[in-house]
Parts: sequence; C-alpha cells; structure tokens
Amino acid sequence: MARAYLVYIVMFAALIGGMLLIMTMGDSVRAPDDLSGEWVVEWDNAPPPESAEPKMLIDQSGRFFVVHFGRRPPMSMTLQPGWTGKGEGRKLSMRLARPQWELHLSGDIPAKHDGQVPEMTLELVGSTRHVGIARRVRAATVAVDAKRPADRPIAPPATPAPAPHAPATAAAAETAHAR
Amino acid sequence: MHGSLLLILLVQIALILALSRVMGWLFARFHQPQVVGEMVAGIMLGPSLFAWLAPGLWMRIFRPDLMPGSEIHTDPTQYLAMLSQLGVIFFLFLIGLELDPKLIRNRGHAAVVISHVSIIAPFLLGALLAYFLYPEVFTSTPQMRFTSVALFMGAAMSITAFPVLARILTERNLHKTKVGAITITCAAVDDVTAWCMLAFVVGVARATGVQSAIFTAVGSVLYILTMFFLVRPFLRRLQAMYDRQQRLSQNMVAVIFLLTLASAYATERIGIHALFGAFLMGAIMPKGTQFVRSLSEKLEDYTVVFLLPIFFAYTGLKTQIGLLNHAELWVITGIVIAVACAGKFGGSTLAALACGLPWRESAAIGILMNTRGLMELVILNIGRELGVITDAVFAMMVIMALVTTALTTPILNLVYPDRLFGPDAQPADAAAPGAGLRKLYTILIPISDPRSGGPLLRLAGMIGGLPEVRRIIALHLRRPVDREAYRAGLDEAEQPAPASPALEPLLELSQREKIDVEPLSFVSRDIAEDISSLARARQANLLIMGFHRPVFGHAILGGTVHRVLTGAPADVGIFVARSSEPPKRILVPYLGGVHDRLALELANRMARSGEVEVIALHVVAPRRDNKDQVLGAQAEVTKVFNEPGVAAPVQFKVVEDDSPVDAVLREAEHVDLVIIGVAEEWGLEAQVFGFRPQRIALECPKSLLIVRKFGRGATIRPAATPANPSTPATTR
Repeated sequence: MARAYLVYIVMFAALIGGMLLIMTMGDSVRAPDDLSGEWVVEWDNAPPPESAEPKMLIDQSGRFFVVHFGRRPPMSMTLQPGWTGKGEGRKLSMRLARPQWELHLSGDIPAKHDGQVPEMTLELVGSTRHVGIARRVRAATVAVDAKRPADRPIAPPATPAPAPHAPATAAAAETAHAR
Repeated sequence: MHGSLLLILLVQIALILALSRVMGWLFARFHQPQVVGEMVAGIMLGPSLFAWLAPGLWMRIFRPDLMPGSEIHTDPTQYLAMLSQLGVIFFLFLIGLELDPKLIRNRGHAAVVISHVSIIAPFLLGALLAYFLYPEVFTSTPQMRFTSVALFMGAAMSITAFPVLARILTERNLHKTKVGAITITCAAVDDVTAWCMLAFVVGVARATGVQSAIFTAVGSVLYILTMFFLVRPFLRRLQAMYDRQQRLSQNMVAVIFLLTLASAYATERIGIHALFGAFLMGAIMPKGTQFVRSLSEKLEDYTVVFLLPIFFAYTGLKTQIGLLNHAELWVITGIVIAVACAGKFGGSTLAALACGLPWRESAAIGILMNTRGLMELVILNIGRELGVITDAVFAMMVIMALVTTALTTPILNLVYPDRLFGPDAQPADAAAPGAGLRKLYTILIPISDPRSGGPLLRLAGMIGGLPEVRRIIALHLRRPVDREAYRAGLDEAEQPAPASPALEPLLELSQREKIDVEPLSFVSRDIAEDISSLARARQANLLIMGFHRPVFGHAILGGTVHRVLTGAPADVGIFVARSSEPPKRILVPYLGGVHDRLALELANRMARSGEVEVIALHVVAPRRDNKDQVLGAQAEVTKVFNEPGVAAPVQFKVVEDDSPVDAVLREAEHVDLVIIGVAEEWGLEAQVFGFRPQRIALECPKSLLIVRKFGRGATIRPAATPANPSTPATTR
C-alpha cells in the first residue's frame, strides 16, 4: 500500500515538474517556417525541364519538403542546418537539398500575416541552374480541407490531377502515364 | 445535390461499407479486433493505396470534380466528411452512454494508481517527444505552437481504446478476472480523463488571446453546470417516463438526439470541440437501466455499421503514407511507436508491479492499456483539423494507432496465454492428478440450439449410466456480440452461466428427470477450438453435439461439427434427433471398424439399464462365402456386450445386401435410434470432407447418433467390407 502511494506521489510530482521543464525547454526550440502551399513562379532564366507551367507546390512537414515544379516529378528535399526564419528576425534563408539538387530560398518576413513569407527568391541548382521569384498563391492552412492533396492539382484544372502523394518516383511515373 | 453527385456518394458509401466489412471479417479471422480491419480498409481507400495503384479510378470515384469535363463541380468527399463527423459525434455519445460511473467510483487501490500512471506516463513522454520532434516534423504556424503541440502529443499518447479493450477482454473471457476488472476500470478512467484533457488542449490551441481563453473557460463552467443541474434531471424524468411506458418512443429518441446535437453545438461554440459535448451528454445519461440499453440499441447499429466506416474511410483519405518518403521519417515513426508503447505499456506495467501484482498480470494490463484503436483516430483527426499536427505526423500517428492496436492480441496471447488463464484453465480440480474425476465417465454436450438441449441431455444420461459414475457438462458458447466497435457486450458476458437462455430448457429437463448436469457458458471467438480445449481440460470421454444445417451446401457434418469431429481429444457423437421419446430399440450397424466398435460400446452402455434392446446389424455381400467374416463380427459384438459384471443383451443380425446403406435404412424403420460409426461404407467418412450425399444422415427415418472414435486407431480405415470380404475383420 505504501509503495503504491509512493508511486502515486512520484508520478504526480513527475507530471508537474516534467511539464514545467518541458515547457521551459520548449521555449528554446523552434520549428522551420511554414512554406507549404501553392506558389506562382516567375523564372528569370529558362524554367527547369517540364516546368513551363509557372507553379510550385510545397508539401512541408518540418524539415522535410516535397516540392513540385509544374509537371516535373516531385522532389523530396530536406532542410539543411543553418537556416534562418522568423525566430531570427525578418530574413528567411533556407537551403533544401537532395542528391544532385539544391534549392535556395530567401525572402523578407513581414511583421503581420502570421509572419508568413509572401514572396521569395528561389535558386534551383543541379545539372542546370534556374533562378526565379515565387509568390504565395494561398497559404496551406491545415485547418482547411483544401490542404488535401487532391485539392492541389499541379496541372491546370482541365487535365487530371496526379495521384496524391504516391512515393516520388512512382507518382511521377503514374502522372506521366495518366497524361 | 446534383443527381450525379448523389450517385457518386452512393457508390463511395457502398464501397466503404463493403471493404470495411470484408477487412473487418478478415482481421477477425486472424484473431484481430475487427476495428483494425476497418481502419486498414479506410487507409486502403485513400491516397496510400487505392489512389496510388489506380489514380484514374480513384479520382473517378472520390474526386470526380477534378476530372476533365466532369459535370460535378463539388468535392463529394465533403459529404463524406459531414457524415463522418456526424458518425463520430454519435459514436462519442454512445461511448459516454456506455460509461458506467460504478467503474470509476468503486475502484480498488491498484486500479486508482494504475489508471493515473497510465495517463501521466504517456502524457509526459508524449510531451517530451514533442520537444524533440518539434524542430524536425512540425512547422512554425500560429496553430502549431510548441505548447499546443506538446499538450496534444501528450493527450494523443495517453488515449486507450475502451471499446476495443473491452471487446478483447470479453472475447478472451478475462472480464471477470482481476486483470479484466483492473483494466476495464483504468480504461474507463482514462476515457473520461482523456476527453477532458482533449477539451483543454483544444481550448488552448484555439485560444487567440486572453479574451478568448476567458470566454472558453467561463463558457465551459457554465456548460458543465447546465448539463449536470438542468439536463441531467430532465433525463431522469425521461427515464421515469420510459419506466412507466416500458418502451422508448420515437419522440423520446428525438428529444435525446436533439439534446445531443445541442450539447455538441454548445461545446463547439465554446471552443472545446463538439465531440466533448456528445461524450458528456452520453456520460450524464441515467445508467444501469433498460432505458440506456434500449437507446444504445436503437443507435448503435446505424452508427457502428454505417457511419463509423465512413469515418475510417475519411481518415484514410487524409492519411498519406507517401509523405513518409525519407528514411528519417520512418525512423521517427518507429520512435513514435516506441514512445507510445513505453508510456502506456511501460507505465501501466510498472504501476501494476508496484502495486504488487505478479509480472504476467502486470504485463497483461500494460498490453491491454496500450490499445488505442479508433479513439486515437478521433483525437488525431481533431489535431489535424486544428492544425496542431502536420500531415506527416498525422500519418505517423495513424500508423502508431494501427500498430499498437494490432499488437495487443498476439502479445497478450504470448504473455497471458489462454492455456494458463483462459476458461479451459479454470477447473484446477479437474486437471489435478488424483482428483478422481477420471473414474467418472465425462460427457460434454455443447448446446447451440436451445431445442437440442433436452434430447442431448437425455441421451447423455442414458449413455453415462448411473449418476454416481457419470458427469455431464452442458456447454453453451456465445459468439462475441457483433457491436464490436464501441461495446464489449460486458453485460451479456457477465451473465452467470446457468442464466444463458440456450441452457434453460436443458436445465428444466435436468431438474424434471433428475439428471445432474454442470452448466457452463462463456464467450468464444472460435467455437470448435474452444469445445476441443474444454474437452481436453475436463478430460471428457465423450462429446455429443447436435448437427447444423449450413447456410451453404448440404454437408451436415461440415463446418464446426467437422472441426470438432476431427479435432476434439475425445470420442465424438453427432446426434440427429428425430423423436423426443427415449429410445427402446437401438440399431448398431457393424462392419468391424474402430468407429463401429465405439458405436457398439455406446449401445452397450445404454443397454446396461435393461430397458433398451440392441440389434447389431452386420451387412454382407450376397452370393459370397461370408462365414469367416460373420463369425469374426459376431465374436467382436459378443465381446463388447459380455464384459464381466456389466453384460447386456444384444441381438446379432446378418443381412445380405449389395448396398450396406440401403440395408441400414431398411432396418432403421423398426428401431428408435441408430448408432453408427463414421466410415466410408456408411457413406459418412468421406463426406466429412466433401459434399457427396450423406444418405444415412439425411434419410434415416429415426434418430441417429454418428460416432467417431478418438485416437490413432480411429484414423485407420476399417478393412473388412462387403466389397472386399477377404480382408481381416477388424483393425484393432
């Protein structure tokens, strides 16, 4: 009986102490800025192959990104260390990477609009180099069902949308086949 | 609604219901909770499988609005979303309805400690996990602040699926054990705590400032006061009205539905989510009466069979396993599962050990508490709606819910096996060496149809002999109730065995004719296996059961009967009763096989009473020299019936016929009961495995007992046959 009471007391103390500690520690951690959603891209030079359509779609889960350029197969990229965002001030600077490709993103963070970057410059570097400006079409608000992949066709409405979130290569193959 | 849209919606729902039932059935076959199959069905219909395999077809069915040139311009999944929300609202109402306050009030000390630890440990670990995952898989949005994420992850890790857990306990007949009692109490406490905690988390996540936080806090207090001091007394009046009328009128149901919807509306407006309102409405309903039972019966089939699969499908549509496209994300998924198990399983097990429970019981409690099931999906959907978790985290957590739920049964089987703690294990006295029960001739009679109970008992009484040397066990196995998803059928399972309606006629006859019988009843998920296990545990000599006409086919010795016939560790008899009168004349067709020999032995047992006349019928091929064969058969019959001290009269009759079956059917006209061994010569043995006509079983004009001898010899085909008279007369 005494041992059970001891467990009880220890657990409640652990809960209160633990939550206080976690919340305090949590003040120092920050998540990457939210770039998910649809963007319109204006390329300064030739757009990447199969990306004539001036659209970019970003799926983001923290450091993990899936970037769609026009009809190109989606690119899974990871945010590299050393990024800056609204936690650091008013400048966004991010480098996303995957084998053979890098995407550099930079922009100004406004004080309003939840600190979401409305416009950013992008530089896609790989076998070729492409530079442009991306403007946010609509924020991907997770509370809204519009976030569902099927609501985000990367093709114009007149053509069928790709299979939502198949693994990158398979999705690319399926998309190519469907069209 | 556009006509085509309605058609699309109907197709969607039909597909969802069909796949959900099929997968539920399939998983149940593998001893998994049906809800796991339904969850998998939902995921299969979404982008993770269906849309990946057949994107065109998927889009045609679920998103025709995106097809080029489509007449439909509205997203039909919006309607699925509405139906699924409605389904979850009523499901949570049912969960509240099932919540028995007695479970929470009358708790033992161990249950108090374990229930609290089983919430605190996973909550802390979930919040700690959020600290590490926040920079990895969350994004910086106003909804995804660290506080909201940490609280949400804590709440999501602490949930226990009360309905699935209760179902597992019932299926394994653990609900009356100490483990069952503690676990069900803990799960009930966890349920209440988790929904209150979630209301708090939702309030925090939605609060946009001090003003809205105050509104939510004050609104919540007013709402709870209203529910307890205004709505609850009104519900008591409704209950009193029900008690007077003894029926639940449609008006009454409508009023309760209206109150449920109003309660959900109020909590949604206050900012603590509609589901909390539905749950609380169910929780404050007056309990322990037929009123609640009637209400839940009216609601449950529609909610559980129709609306919940839509919720699973809608969840599946939003679950994008394809988003987990980095090895790191799969590692994180593994960590999420490990932390979930460590918090819930580890916390509960350690707390149980600290309370002095043995390790097996403690581990069993931990495993059961780690079941998350549908409740986790409900919470995850709320988190996704609120924007507290990303789609990738949603997918990870759905996988975690599936894994923890699916692991429960197999791990429980390993740690807390039926052979040690199940119903078979209970008669320690019977299994104990030297208990003397082997001296008794034990007959087990499984009863499925209450009408078959009387004839089976009478037959068992005659075969068993004098009351001092026989022991008859009447067994009724109940399948788990089909209302799997939210209710365990605990009330039904808790009925004492004699109260089982299927055994009532048998028990009445037992008292009337003074045949002692031991009634036994429990829930079974595999009836044939449980009959065999019980026969083994109770060291039954003979097992007599009725026959069943299958839904498909004509084999009366198929299905469960076939599995018992071939798998039970005892001699088995299948009784086809065609008269309610006790038999006076018994015919035993005898060709010399081991099963025929058993038929003779049983007839001999019945004949010892002196009130029964036995005719042993030997059929030989005409126009052949059958002398040796006949003499051998006669000697065998004489040997059986002339056992020292228990000799019984028998008439040995030889008939010449090309067809033994025709001969038996002809002779059966003049007797009351035919006892026959399963053998190909009688057209029975082969039919156990096939669909050839079983003429004797189907055409015998009198009652028939088909018997099969247990043991090695039983598998040897009798050699002496009319078609091959040169072979030895017997195989024993």
